[in-house]
Formats: sequence, structure tokens, C-alpha cells
Amino acid sequence: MDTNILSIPILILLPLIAAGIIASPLLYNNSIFTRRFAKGFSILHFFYASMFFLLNTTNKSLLTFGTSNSHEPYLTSRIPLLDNAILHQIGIHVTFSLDNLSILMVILTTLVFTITIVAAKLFIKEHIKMFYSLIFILESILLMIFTTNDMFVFFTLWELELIPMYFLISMWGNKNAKASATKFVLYTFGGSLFLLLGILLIYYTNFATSGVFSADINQISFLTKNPLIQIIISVLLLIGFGVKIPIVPMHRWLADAHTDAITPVSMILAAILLKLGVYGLIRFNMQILPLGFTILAPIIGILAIVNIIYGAMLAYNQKNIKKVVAYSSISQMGIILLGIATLNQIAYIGSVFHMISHALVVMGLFMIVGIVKQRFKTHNMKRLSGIASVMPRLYGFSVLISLAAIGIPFLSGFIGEFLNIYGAFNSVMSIFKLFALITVAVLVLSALYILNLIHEIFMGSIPEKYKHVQDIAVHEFLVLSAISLLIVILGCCPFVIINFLSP
Amino acid sequence: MIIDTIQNYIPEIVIGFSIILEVILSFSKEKLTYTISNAIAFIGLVCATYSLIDATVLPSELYMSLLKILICFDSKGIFKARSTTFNIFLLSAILFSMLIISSNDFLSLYVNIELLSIATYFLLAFDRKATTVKESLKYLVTNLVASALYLIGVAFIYGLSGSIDFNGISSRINNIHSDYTISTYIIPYTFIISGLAFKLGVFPLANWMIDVFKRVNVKVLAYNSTIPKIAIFGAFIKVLSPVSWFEIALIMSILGLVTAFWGGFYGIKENNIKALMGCSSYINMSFIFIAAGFYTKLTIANVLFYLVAYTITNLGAWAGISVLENSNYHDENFNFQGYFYNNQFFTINFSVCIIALLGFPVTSGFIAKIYTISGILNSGILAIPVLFFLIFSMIIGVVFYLNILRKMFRNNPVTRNEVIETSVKNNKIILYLSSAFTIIIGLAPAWLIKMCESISLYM
Repeated sequence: MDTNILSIPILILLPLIAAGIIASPLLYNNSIFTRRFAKGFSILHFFYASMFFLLNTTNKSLLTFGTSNSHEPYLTSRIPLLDNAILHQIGIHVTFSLDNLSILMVILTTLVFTITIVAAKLFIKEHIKMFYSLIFILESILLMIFTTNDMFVFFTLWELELIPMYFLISMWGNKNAKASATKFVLYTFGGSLFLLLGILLIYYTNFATSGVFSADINQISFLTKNPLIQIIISVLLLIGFGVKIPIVPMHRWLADAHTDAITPVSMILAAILLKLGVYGLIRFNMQILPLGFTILAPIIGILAIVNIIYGAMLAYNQKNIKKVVAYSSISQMGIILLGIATLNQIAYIGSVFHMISHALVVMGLFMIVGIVKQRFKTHNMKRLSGIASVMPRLYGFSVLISLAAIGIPFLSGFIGEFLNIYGAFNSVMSIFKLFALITVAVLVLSALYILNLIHEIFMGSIPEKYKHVQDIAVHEFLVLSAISLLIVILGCCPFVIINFLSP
Repeated sequence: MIIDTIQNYIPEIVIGFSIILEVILSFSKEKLTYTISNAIAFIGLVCATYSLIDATVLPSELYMSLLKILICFDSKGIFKARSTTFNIFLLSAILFSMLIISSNDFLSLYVNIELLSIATYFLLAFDRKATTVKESLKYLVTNLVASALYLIGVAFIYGLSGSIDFNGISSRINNIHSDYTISTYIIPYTFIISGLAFKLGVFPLANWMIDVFKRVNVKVLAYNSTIPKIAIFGAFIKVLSPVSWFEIALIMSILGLVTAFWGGFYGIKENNIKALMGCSSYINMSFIFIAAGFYTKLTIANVLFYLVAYTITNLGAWAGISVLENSNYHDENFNFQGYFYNNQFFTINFSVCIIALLGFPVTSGFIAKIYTISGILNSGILAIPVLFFLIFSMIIGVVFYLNILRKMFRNNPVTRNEVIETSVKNNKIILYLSSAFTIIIGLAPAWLIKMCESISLYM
């Protein structure tokens, strides 16, 4: 098959070009043009990214479990200007490549951004040009993070992503958004410095054992058999990535950032940025430091269980409906983390699957919350009731998406949770059987907070002043139906992704 | 023989000559002096730069370019009226800083540092307001304490080794049959280090900095936060050469960490942007200070690279502040809310400088940060705890940098819709140039890293 049209530089740099066009005077400061251009561009970009998935017929690219050191990405390309000989001397290669995990994350990113850009029409009323250009810059940075081969490039992009994110949270959020954005940047920046220490230690230890300076993630075969060094580096990296996931002691930024940011930004934050941490764990801890990760796995498992329980309890106790959704993602990220820590193929596939599923579900939930806020001007659960009677279509979508969040069969959430728990039962380490039992028991809690949310805001009688609220408009319908359709498709035929990930 | 000596000192002689020209010019009528005196200073510096022959003089070259920029700093009022006097002090400051770097023993180092302090003292008090005179007096008194510490240390060293020459001390220390152990030298060197650290604004004698930064004119501050600091780091590289031990690194790390935490915590509650630049200086200086303490080939290269990146960014930030000061957004606390929506290009460039001071990617500050951390880490596994604390101090620092950005991008206030700027053309050009340079280093740092490493091999 001819793969010449599939070029990674085009894939990752197209959003930057779009940002340039939007920021330039080409579109005349016209908000309608800008919106239409952004929508059309992101849809085309999504189709272009999907072609990488559809045309991938080779088997060479598999990042399978346990054979990480020998795996080769199937498509690699370098950026000519930045990738020069001086950098090669110190082992830095500015190259980008795709393997099967990267392809899935890239498609997820483009999908999330497309849906977000369509949904943004409802929420973004001012500084439209700046919003769309920042969104496209952020998209480009994220695509580069998911495709890069080099540790230092990864770290640079990891910090660079904070700048557009800071402005996206602080400029369009509510009045507390600036403090929340600062908090977000502080936590992530703090984590990233630990990440830097870990990366530098990998770099120097690799030099000490192999005698070659190399920063290539796929080429570093970590020769040191010293478990102490592997554990130190693993812990440093775990702190760095754990802030993003977030693992429970480091989760304090999440609820504030989600609540105070505007809905499209919350959607991106929950759907993609949280997954960055898990991606980093897979790429660095699992791939480069297998020994350290194996030793730390039970501890990560315990942290995952704490995440699941603590997130669910916090979500159940909230009165603010946006905070319910925000804390629910802490709980869901715990399930993904458990799958990663389990250390077997099924749970690995399950956690990647659940990343995609959770991205869809959480986007849907944030969209519903955003629509409710836009119509009824409040996030307070106690002041909302009986919305189902005036907005039946929204109610329908809400029920479907919440069922997916709970994990009902034939919807995507079920497959992810099932694979994770099944993998944990089959784990070599017997303690994970216990973790699986606890998870099964605790999943009831997720039904509790989600159904509580639906019950409180949709059931009951509607106050008199809200009798004439309009049901969802066309573009809201499009967004919700796209999300619901994907949830159902993934729930009914999950083998599209499972086959793609398995050897 | 004499000609050889003269050849080595051509840059200094050229600068001295232009100082004399400025003195002559100061007797003439006032009308044209501003332009002519700046032109003389500028041409003198250009000639001095071209007469530098040695390959190991990156710091000196850096001065030249910095001073050229400084002279272009646009200013008003008393700075414009008495520009010849100002340029005389500025040029003598550069002369003494160059002599600091080239001095080879503790005595000439002391004399040159004192002369530099006198020039700095006059510059700080230049606008003759009561507040600034008070601040410069504070600077002078603290400087005396620092000199006393330095001299006590030197006296000890002389007593122990019988020499004040760096090479002599080095051979004495490394002599196996010496009467004194290594640990004897640690306390005198601690005295010397704390005396020198005064000019950098590093603990223990650091508290002059924020007060001075709050009240003194921007043009003087742009000088004071760049030139003396490069000179002192140049001195450090020579002073520390006999004693590149872990104990000294530990002492310097502790001093640096205290400074960094102090600056970070002070900045959280501070509103005045000039004082915030002081806090930023605390954090960045302690970073370089700690790197200098470890004293390997790599960390010396780190020091050089960080100095280049920091000074250029810093000048850009000062130029931006000067523009703000001369606009109608200026008040006591520099409350420039919503500046972004009125002057986008300027604000983006200014933000680039702030982001570079903060150390975020695609700027020189980010590369400097990574490079320095990797250098410190490379000098031994014992450096990891120091790095941990340094990282925490950087996290605290993020808060006040973001405060500056937050103010600028806050929504437009109703009352002030239009920006009126007066006489700031040069400063804007300086800001744009330095932000462009910041991004260029951030994207392609390899050539500068290579240059710094090749220079560090000579030292």
C-alpha cells in the first residue's frame, strides 16, 4: 500500500499552520469565518489522522507487553532544521514516529479537539481568534508529545504545553480561574522538574553503562541491573507523571482547574491532558525501566485503589455538578492506573481502551454540565431539578452517557473496566486478585454518584421561571450524538481497538 | 616588553580614552551633549570590542555588547541633562569590571571591586532624590561590611599560605608537605565567598537588593543587575580554582538555597514589578551561584551559558518595564491591567522575557535551566538533595512570575482604553531584539553551548 501521503510532519504541524492562519488578518476579525474555518480544518485533520489507523496493515509497529526493548516504530521522520549534527553528538534526535499506541492517542487527540471546537460555539463569546489559535497550538504540541522519540524533546513539549493551557484556563474561565490556572501550572511545573531529574538520570546512567550518549526512548535498553537506581528513577518519574494523572496526594489542582475553566477547556483537560500522564508511564516506566516498574507495581496498585475509592467518595459528596464530573475522572483514572500496574497484556489493552472510553464519556458529561450551566446559570445541584421535562433530548443523551460512565454492557465503559479487572484477576502477583475484588466492590460507588447526579438535576418538578428553556440546538445535538454513537460503537465492537493493540 | 603589556590592555586603554573624551565634553554647552556623549561611549566600546584578541574573553565581550545596549536605553529628565556624567560612571564601571576579571591576586581583585562599588554608588544616587540617596547609602554601608568580611578571609589565607596570588595559594594547598590540612582553608574561603556574594545579592548580605530595586531608576537597575554580576562570577571562577572541593560546593549550595527560598517567598506577596525583578534576580543568581560552587568543567560552561541567557533576557525585561513606566499605565504598583488588549505586540515580547526568566520552553531560560541542572547532576550523586531543594524554590518562584503575566492579560479596565507612551522608542527596540535573541537561543542553543564549553576548557 502506498503510504507516501501519510507524513508525520504534516500531521503534527498542520494545526500550527491553522493557528497561524487564524491569528493572521486573513480572516478579517470575523468570528463566523473563524469558527467555520476552525471547524472545517479540524474535521479534515481528524480524517487525515484516521488514515494512519486505516492504512496501517504492517505488523511491525506493535508495542507489545514485555518485548519493549526490541520494538521499532513503523513510521519515522525527522525535522530537518532542528535535527542537526551538533545535537546528534549529545544523543538528541528531533525525530517523530508512530507505533500503535501513538496512533491511537493521535486519533483520540484529533477527535477530542474536533468535538471541542464544534462545542466551543456555545461557550466562547469573546477573544475568539485568540481562543482558536491557542487551541490549535495546544493540539500541535500534544500531537508532538504523543509521537516524539526523544526524552528531551518530550520534556520540552511537556513544559511547553503549560503555556497555552495557562492562558486557556485563565482568560476564559470564571473569576477564580486565574488562581486555579496558577495552581495547575505550579503543580505540573513542580512535577515536571522531578521528571527532568529522572530523565537526566536515565541519560547519564545509560551513558555510564553503554558508553553512548542517547536520548532515544526506543533505543535505550537499560543495561543496569541495579534495582536501587531503577527504583529511584521510577519514583522520580512516577511523581512527575502522577501529578498529571492525578494520583491522589497530588490531585488538588484538578477540581479547581476543571471547575473554573470554561467547558471546552475542561473537556480537553479531562480527555487528553490526564491521559498524558498514563502515556508517560507506559513510555518511560514500563518501556525503559521494567525492573523498577515491576518492583513498584504493588505500590502503584495501592495508589490506584486509593484513587478509585477517594475519587468516588469525593464525587458523591459534591454539590457542584461540575465538580462531580471532575472527581469522577480521578476515580476512572484509578482504574486505568490499576490496569497499567497489573503488568499483563490484557490489562494493558484494557487500560488503553479505557483511556479512549473515558475520554469520550467525560467529554459528554462536561458537555451536558456546560449546557445546563448555560441554560440555568448555576452549577449548584440543589437549585436544579426537573430539567427532563423541558429538555427531553438532553435527558436522553445524559442517560446514555451516564450508563457508559457506570459501565453497563454494550457501552464502551464496560469493556474498559471489564478488561482491567479481568487482567488483574489473571495477574501473576496474587495481591492484584485482591485489588480486583476491591475494584469490583467499589464500582458500585460510581453508579451511586452518577445516578445521584442524574436524579437530582433531571427528575422532579421544574421551577416556574425555567418553563420556557429551549432544548438542545443543532450543534449541541451533533456533539452529543457523535459522542454517544462512538460510545455505542466501541461498546458493541471493541475488537477494532483490541485487535489493533494485541500481538 | 612594554609593547606586549600594552597590547594586552588595549580594550581597557580605549575605554579609558573615551572616559577622558567624555570628561572634556562635559565642559561644553549642554545642547548637543546627550547625542555626542552617547556616540563617544558607543564608538569607544565598539573599538574596544574589536581590539579583544584573546579567545577566552566571552565575559568581556558580553560586557561590551551589554553596555552598548545600556547606552541606547532611552531616558528622560536628569539622566538626559547630565548624560556625560552618567556615561563617565558607566564607562568606568565597565573598566573596573574588566579589571576584576583579569586580576590574578586577592589584592588587585579587592581594589577593583572597591572602585566598581564607588562607580555603582554614584550611579545609584544619580537622580539625587532623597529616597535614592538613602538606598545608595544602604548599599554603601552593606558594601563596607562585605569588604570587611572579604579582607578578614584574605588575611587568614595570607597567614596560612604566605601568598595572595591565586596560583601561589593553589600550589601551597596542593603541597603534600603543607603544615595545614584542607579543612583549615574552608572558613577563610567562606568569608571571602560571602564578601563577594554581596554584589550578586546572595545571602548573607543580600537584603539591600529589593529596597534598591524598588526606588532606583530603571536605567541604573538595568546596569546594576547585569554588569557587576558578570564581573563577580568572573572573579569567582578564578577565586575558587584552588579550592574545588565538595565542602565549598556544599557551603555555596546552602547560601544559594537560602537566597532562592527567600526570594521566592518574598515575591509571593509583592506587587511592585521592580521588586519582583529583584526576587527573580535572587532565584536566578542562586542558581548560577550553586552551579559555580560545584566547579567542574561542565558547571563553568553552565555558568557562562546561564549568564548570557539571563543578562540578555533581563535587559529585555527592564526595557519593557521602562516602557511601562513611561506610559499612562504607570502608578505606584505598576498596575498595568489589560495592557495586552491595547498593545499586543509589545505584551507578547515582554511575556517572552518573563517566560524566559521563569524557564519555560522555547526560550533561552529553559535551555539554561536544563543545562545547568544536568551539569550539577553530573558532578555527583551527592548533588541530588541540593537539586531537590533548588527545584522547590523554582516552584515557589513560578507564583510571582505568573502574577506579572496575569496582570497583563486581565480583562480591559473600562477607564483606560488608550495607551499613551512617551519617548520609549529605543527601549522598545531593545525589548524586541532581546526577546528575538531569547527565542533564537531557545530554538538553536547548540552553538552557544559549544562556545561555552570550549571557553571553559581554558579555565
